Amino acid sequence: MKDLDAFLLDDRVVPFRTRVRRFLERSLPADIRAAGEAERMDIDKDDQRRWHKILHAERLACSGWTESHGGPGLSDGERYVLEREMALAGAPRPMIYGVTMLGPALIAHGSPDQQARFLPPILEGDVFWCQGFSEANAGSDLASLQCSAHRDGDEYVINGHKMWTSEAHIADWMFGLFRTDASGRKQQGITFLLLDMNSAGVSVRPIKTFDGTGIEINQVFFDGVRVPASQRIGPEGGGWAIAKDLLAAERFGNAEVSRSMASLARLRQFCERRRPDGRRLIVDPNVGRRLAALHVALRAVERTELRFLAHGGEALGAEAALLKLRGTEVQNEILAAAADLLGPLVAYHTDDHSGQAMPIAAPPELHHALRSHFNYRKTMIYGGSNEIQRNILVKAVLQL
Amino acid sequence: MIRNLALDETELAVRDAVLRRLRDGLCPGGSAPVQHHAAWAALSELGLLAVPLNEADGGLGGGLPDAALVLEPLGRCGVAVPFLEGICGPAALAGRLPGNRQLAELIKGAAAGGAPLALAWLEPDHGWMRRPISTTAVRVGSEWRVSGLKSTVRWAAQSAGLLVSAECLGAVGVFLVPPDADGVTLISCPTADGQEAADVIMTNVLLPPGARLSAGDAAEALDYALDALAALSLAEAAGAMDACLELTISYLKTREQFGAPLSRQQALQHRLADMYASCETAWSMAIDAAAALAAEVPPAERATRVSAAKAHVGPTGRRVAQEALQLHGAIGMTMEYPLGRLLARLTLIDLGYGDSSWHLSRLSSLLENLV
Repeated sequence: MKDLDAFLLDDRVVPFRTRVRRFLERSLPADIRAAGEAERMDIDKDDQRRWHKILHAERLACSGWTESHGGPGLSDGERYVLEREMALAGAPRPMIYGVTMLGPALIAHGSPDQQARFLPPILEGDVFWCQGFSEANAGSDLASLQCSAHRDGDEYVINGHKMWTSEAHIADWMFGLFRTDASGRKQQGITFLLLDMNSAGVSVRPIKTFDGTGIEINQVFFDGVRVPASQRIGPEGGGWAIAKDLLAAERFGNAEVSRSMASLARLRQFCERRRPDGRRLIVDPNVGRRLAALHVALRAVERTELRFLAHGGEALGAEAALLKLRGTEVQNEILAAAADLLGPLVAYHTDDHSGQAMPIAAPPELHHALRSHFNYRKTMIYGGSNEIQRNILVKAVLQL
Repeated sequence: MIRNLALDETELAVRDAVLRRLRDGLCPGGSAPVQHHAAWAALSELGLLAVPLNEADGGLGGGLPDAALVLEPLGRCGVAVPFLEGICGPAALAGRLPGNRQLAELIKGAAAGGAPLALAWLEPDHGWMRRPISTTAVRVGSEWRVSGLKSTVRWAAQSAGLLVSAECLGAVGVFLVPPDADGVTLISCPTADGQEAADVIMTNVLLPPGARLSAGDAAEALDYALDALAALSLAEAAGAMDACLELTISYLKTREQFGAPLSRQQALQHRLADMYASCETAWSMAIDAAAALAAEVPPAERATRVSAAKAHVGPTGRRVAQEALQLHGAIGMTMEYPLGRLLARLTLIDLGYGDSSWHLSRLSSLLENLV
């Protein structure tokens, strides 16, 4: 019986890991790393671009793209290791909407003209995308979306709104799902369109969240927005299949195992600090056991992800839902533990909106603990809530 | 249900061979568990009890980790045989205490369908602690004199030999004690999971010089053997967990209440989804723990991986079985229905080989030293 880690120890992966580690030590800017170590997902747009261009210069950007479209042509093992090393180093996540989501969808479903027009600016890090899927009345039940696009000659005219749109306030372009036909089944009549956020009739209303982060999500209104039909991906009415593909890819990444490993390692490091009695925090058996329990829970997801990657191959489908389900649960347990371990100081609310400084010197490495504890609740809600993941397991795996 | 066991073709063939053989009349279906002798004989005839041994002795070549291939179907079918305690544990010990020909022969004999061995390490009031050991061995001329009390020694009365841990010359010693030696008293009792166990009372038992299996300190060898028991029990647990899930799914599909099968109730469906997720993570941890028994894995890494896996699979398996019982309702409580036996075994796996609290404590200490 072979060790699961053997998958990560082949002749290509080992030198690749060394190369990535050296690159990250040398090239990850300290200010960007600090944002990653503070569990921030709302990385400044310019910083995201700056980091993407550094990655691209090293030919490590867009790791999931095929080589013919400018991807680095990595094996599954190399991609896995790249994601792990980036997370452990505190590097930001890839620019998710363009790089991780739209890129592969365009490669799979776009025309050659569309690929030639839209892929290079993503690869270069020049165009910043957002995803227009959810609406006020179409959350978990995404297919019931109403925002309409009606055909008018060579154009679609969009009216309605999108809700909870991450990064719409900084995005240059949006890909989204729009209703072109309301007569049939709700999954039919949905069309996948790309649109310029500077188009006439687009307005963005940022939504403040309670957690103390800066703006992450928005409501986007469309008032007679005209979109050329050449910016439709796939056939009219064929958007649902593309979206399902794309969301399945998101689910895999959403397990965030590597990010959680980094969070747990930082928490463990924090627990090395000494209390007034001179003893390290970690020698408190309650603290040590809690960290050990988190290690166990996270490793169970990590080993499963590795087993699926190494042995699931093409067959892996709906089972990935359990990675998102368990991965985000553990992630939230880790961030909750960080808030708990901060002690009484956790009460200070460092709010990005007010720019308030901490009143006294709190442990700087955990300033963010309560904010990220609150903020990351979203990971169990977005990308198909964890209840939707259970539905997927029930239908597609257990076949009930 | 577990998707893709991460096994190669040969490994899968072995696992399937065990499963097929057990399902051919050896699974406890009705009210009473199958006598372990029948399954023991059938598996030995196919050479399947020798899977974890050296290739020369009929093994598959992968060593101790390969025992998981036999244990997963044993757990799945709820068959109680002395394979884990009577062959795997002793083989682990023999691997770390080489040169003991008598022990090697006894293990081969067990794998050929003979009497198993028994690891006598637990002592009353010591909980799961591996040390200190109250049983003592002292030198008397050229012989050894062993005294002490061991408890819940699985398969002691059925065994060809007891492997007894003892404090010896300031170190850990392991002694081969015949169960019928003068001064040995066995008080047998069946266990809640359908196996046999006994208290072993040793009063001034005189043993020949060769009875001591270790020249020096056997602490690491014993640790390895106990880690092997803990690790490999998880493959059995994963099989039993999957069986719980499958039983529950097929029951809920046929059981109608409120005019529809219970499997249509979303409240129940989501609990099945969580059970399924647990089965998958449990198998991942079980194979990781088994692989950590490979000879080249350093002791601290092995202990870390085994304890992490035990702390996950133990309680998770127990919970899956409890959920299965709850979703079944009253039928699950009956002796007639196979679920109870699976629950009992999963409970005793969680409360065996070091419970989750013991393993979490050990893991905590091991991780503390990593920073």
